[in-house]
Order: sequence, then C-alpha cells, then structure tokens
Amino acid sequence: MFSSYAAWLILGMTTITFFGFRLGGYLIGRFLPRHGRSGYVLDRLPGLVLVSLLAPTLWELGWIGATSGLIVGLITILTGRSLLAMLLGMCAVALSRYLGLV
Amino acid sequence: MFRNFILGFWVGLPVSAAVGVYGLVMGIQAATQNITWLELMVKSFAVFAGASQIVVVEAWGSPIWLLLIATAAINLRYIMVGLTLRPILNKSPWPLRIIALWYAADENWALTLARRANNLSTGTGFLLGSGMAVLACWQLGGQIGFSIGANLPDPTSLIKAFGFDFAFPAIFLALALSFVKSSIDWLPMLVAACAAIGFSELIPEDTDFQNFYILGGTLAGCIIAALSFADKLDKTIVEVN
Repeated sequence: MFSSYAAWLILGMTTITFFGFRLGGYLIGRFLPRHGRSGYVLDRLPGLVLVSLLAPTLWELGWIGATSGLIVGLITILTGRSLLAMLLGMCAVALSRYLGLV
Repeated sequence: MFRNFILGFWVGLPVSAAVGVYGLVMGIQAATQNITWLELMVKSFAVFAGASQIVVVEAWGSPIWLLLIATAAINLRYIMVGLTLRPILNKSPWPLRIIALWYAADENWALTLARRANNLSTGTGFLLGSGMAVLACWQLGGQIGFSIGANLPDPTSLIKAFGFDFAFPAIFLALALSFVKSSIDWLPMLVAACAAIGFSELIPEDTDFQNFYILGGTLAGCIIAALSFADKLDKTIVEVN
C-alpha cells in the first residue's frame, strides 16, 4: 500500500495527465481547419470514437450483444429515443441471462 | 446559459444513473484497498475519469509509474474528446472552458455532441449541466459503495444480472447512430468497429496497452472518412451536373 504522501502524489499526477489530454486536444483543434476534408472528418470523429469504444464489448457479448445491439439500433433509428433504446437493450440482456440463454 | 445548464443536468440524469452503478463498484473496491474516504472523494472530483479510477483502485499498491502509464493509456481518447469540443466551447470565457473540459466525461460529451448535431444552441451550459449530473451520480455511487464496503459479496454479479454492464454500450451505440447523417457515414463506422474489435483481439489483455483499440479503431474510421470525402464531392458534382 502507498503512504499518504504517495497516494496524494498519484492523485495529483493523474489529475494533471487527464486534464492535460482534454486541454491538449482542445488546443490542437485550433490548428485544424473546420472546413473541407478536415472538417468533414472532425464532424464524424465523435461517432467513430463511440463505435470504437463499444464494438469490442458487443463482440465479447457474442450473439446476445449482436441481438441487443440490433434492438438498440432499431429503436434509436425508428423512434429517436436513445434512453428508451438503452433501457430495452439492458432488459434484453438481463432477460437472456435470467432465462439462461447465455 | 443557466437554462441550458439545468436542461443538461435534467437530460443527463438518466444516463448518469448508469454511471452511479459503476461508481458503486468503484467505491466497494476502494473500501477493500485501504483508500481513505477523503482520498476517494478528492479523486472523484479531481480526476473524474471513471475507467481509469477503477483501474487505479484495482492496482493500488503497484509501482507509481505503472499506474500512471496504465491510466494514461486508457484515457488517450480524451485528446479526441477535447478536439471535438472546440466548436462548442470556443465562444465561452476561458474559466468556463476549463471547467467544462475538466468535467467532460464520455457520457456528457457524447450526449452534448449528439444533441448539438440537431440543435446548434446546445453549448457549454448543456455540457456543464450534464457533466454535473454525471459527477453527482458518480460521487453518490462511490460514497454508497464505500459505505457498504466489503459487506456486499459480489457486486459484479448483481450488475450483470440486471444488465447494467450493457448500459454503456447501449447508450453509446444509440448516441453513435445519431452521428450518421447519410448512407456514406456507415462505411467509416463499420471500419472503425471492425478495426477496434481486431485491435482488442490482437493486443494481449494483461498489458497496459489493451485500451489502444479505441485509438486504433478511431484512426481507421477517420482514414476511411477522409477517403470517402472525395467520393462525396464526386457525387455532389455528378448531381449538380
């Protein structure tokens, strides 16, 4: 275990690192044009980060991940209600586990 | 600004409830690792990066340099988070920009950008408000988990039984779909997903670089998006002619 001094040192350093990433990205944005090809890619960046974040999780969940993902996708596209989609996706996963399907 | 803040807080609450569940797990882990209540409280306020906080708590006692590398690797994606927030924060005063950047977590960041895609008035106030909702739930979950401590036998099983482990993939998927504006946007998304899965399978799980799949997937998607930009221009020219 850490001494109290080391614990606070870790807290300080992780805080600086994480804020540094956010601020660094924000400052880099100043040098990237918001039009043309660069702007086009930047507009799509949030969606690409999110997809990259969640794809391996869905993959690991196997067919239940694919089915629940499909439910979430369809509800989002048809109704535009992301929270409803999230809740029904969670219910599908919970129900599959309860029924012993996974 | 204030109205947007309240709106952000209100809209962000349901998503933040899922964050609270993970805060609960983190708090329970912290109670078993000799972390003090004050250290946990300050960490949640100052660091405010869920996944890395869980890693820090789990690896508490490892060499400091290892902790820093592991947590930095997990959070490299926040460079991209900062990058995408520029149009939103650009006109706000610097102190507000700093606070908004500080409390830009995955959930409120994605929520804000998804909302802004359809409503340009969504700005710093909304980001901050939803960030405060995430912070409140994260703190609440963490403190409850810390109080319960080791008395709860297996919190992970409970989370799985109720499907809470699917909350983040589900909300992220729903929010990601809101960034699809035309059929041409599907290809970069698909490539990013496949590349992220490929990287996560290729990088050994027990290394500090496991989370690099996020960067790998995003970069692959960006390359395809950049290439498809030319296609889009060609199609526009054909349509105009």
